Amino acid sequence: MSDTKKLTKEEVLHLAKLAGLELSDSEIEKNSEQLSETIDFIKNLEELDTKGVAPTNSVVDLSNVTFEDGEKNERQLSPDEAFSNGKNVKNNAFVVERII
Amino acid sequence: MVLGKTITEIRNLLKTKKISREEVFSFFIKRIEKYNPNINAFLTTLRKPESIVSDGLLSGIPLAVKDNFCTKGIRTTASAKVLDNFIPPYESTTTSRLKLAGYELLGKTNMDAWAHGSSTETSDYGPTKNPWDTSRSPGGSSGGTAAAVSAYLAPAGIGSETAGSIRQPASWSGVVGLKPTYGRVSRYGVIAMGSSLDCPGPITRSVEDAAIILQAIAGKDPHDATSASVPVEDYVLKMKEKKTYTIGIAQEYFEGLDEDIKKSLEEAIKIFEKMGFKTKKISLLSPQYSISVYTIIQRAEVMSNLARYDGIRYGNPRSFFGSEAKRRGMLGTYTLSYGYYDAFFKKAQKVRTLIINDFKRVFKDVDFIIGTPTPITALKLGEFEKYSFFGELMDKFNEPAAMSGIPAISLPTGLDRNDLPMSIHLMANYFRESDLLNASYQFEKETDFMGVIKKGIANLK
Repeated sequence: MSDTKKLTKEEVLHLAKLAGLELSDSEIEKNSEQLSETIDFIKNLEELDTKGVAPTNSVVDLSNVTFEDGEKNERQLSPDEAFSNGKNVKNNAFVVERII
Repeated sequence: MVLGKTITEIRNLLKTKKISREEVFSFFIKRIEKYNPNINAFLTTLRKPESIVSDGLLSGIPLAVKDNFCTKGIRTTASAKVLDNFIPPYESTTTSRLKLAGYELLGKTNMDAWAHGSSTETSDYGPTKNPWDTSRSPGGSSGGTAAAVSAYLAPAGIGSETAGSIRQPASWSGVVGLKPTYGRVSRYGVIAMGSSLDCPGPITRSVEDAAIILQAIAGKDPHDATSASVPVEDYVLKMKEKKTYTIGIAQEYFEGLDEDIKKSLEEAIKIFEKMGFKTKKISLLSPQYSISVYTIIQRAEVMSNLARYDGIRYGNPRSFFGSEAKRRGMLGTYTLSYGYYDAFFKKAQKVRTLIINDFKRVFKDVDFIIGTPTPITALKLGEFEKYSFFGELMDKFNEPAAMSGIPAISLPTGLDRNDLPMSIHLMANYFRESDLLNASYQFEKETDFMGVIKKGIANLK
């Protein structure tokens, strides 16, 4: 039933790299099959004419939501709270692997 | 004394001092100890009531809360091993408001990991089982809450939906599920799945209980910029006003239904007519398109939301992601990537506009659109895994309301040939929750939901 070419192993690996995910060999195979199936299905949107139709980003009619001047930011966490789930914290900072 | 009682009834027992809040709490803990090992609805339970609010809407009422709502100091996993030991340093607005209303957190409930699924089978902590038949799924992703309410391990609970995750499990577990208008209830502190879609809501044993919980959690929240400032109505009061409405019947929402469900839906329509409601034939865009719009937009938003789980500041590394999260992330990455963005993501956003306009047109003529939340009753555990997006296909009648952000409710209407609960589904225009609850309350008065909710407990082994 599929009219979409099955995604190649290289394409799946490229997507995985972009998504920051590691896939096993069987996951690569499964993803290439299932992604193609899903992409095939969602192509039914091509049947609808959307010329001149504006895209919907949000269903609520809101713009420029801001804090009032002087409003207390109750969302702010204390450093202790912010680091409470950290596994490797030093001097109020998260320790990360060296990248350069 | 407590067994099977609604929130309203327990509140009355508490007010007249026939029972203490400690007794109510321990009643549910005992039921959880007895039944949860088999049903697996709760991941975490609390020991004792802690609320200090004695005269709130929900004072002394223990509730089950889906494990994607952050609860300060209490483990919150979204049923994902990535967050296996995550203790939130802050509280979600929904649970903060429940606290202000005096509720007692009974425990956190199982769900599909990250809410990715319609069966609770993708949970990293094992599937929840349907109390009606433990070889079956309770639905999902709010399956833990639905199963807990159905088995009366909690008098009511909180779920969340992105597209159907309240209404479908409520339907498969034989209870009431309300999805409010997008923005009616704050998303702050809910572990995000699809940010333009996510919607917290109640799963209950009566329409009045759904109204009470909505009353407690609805309203503008400065912590969620997408929450709506439309005034919150007195849902319980408005629910009891005598009103008649016009119900729209769209052929597109009758296609592919199981025979028993179709029959029960037709009977429900006759009941509404007998109650004095008008019915009107209408035509809507096929829900088939909503499946695609939903799949594209939700996967893209999933990918953006899961990007923050890098294991650096909290949680486990990305290698802990389960296969469903990976599968969704891969498609989200595909539809957002160079060369495909216009063909898929932007096209889906445009069709989303068409779906919204379609509903706006129809709601000029009718108050509600009737249908069913699912074309079939509860499936056996394991059925979902056979297909790559079976859940999306099965949720096709729920997705249009999710894509457009309108409110909808799932109400039990009887049992099918396998003694499994069936439901109808009413959708209403934006912020018309009080009308939705009003019509649902009238239907409940007329039918008592065919005794489904009570049978759910009697059935339990």
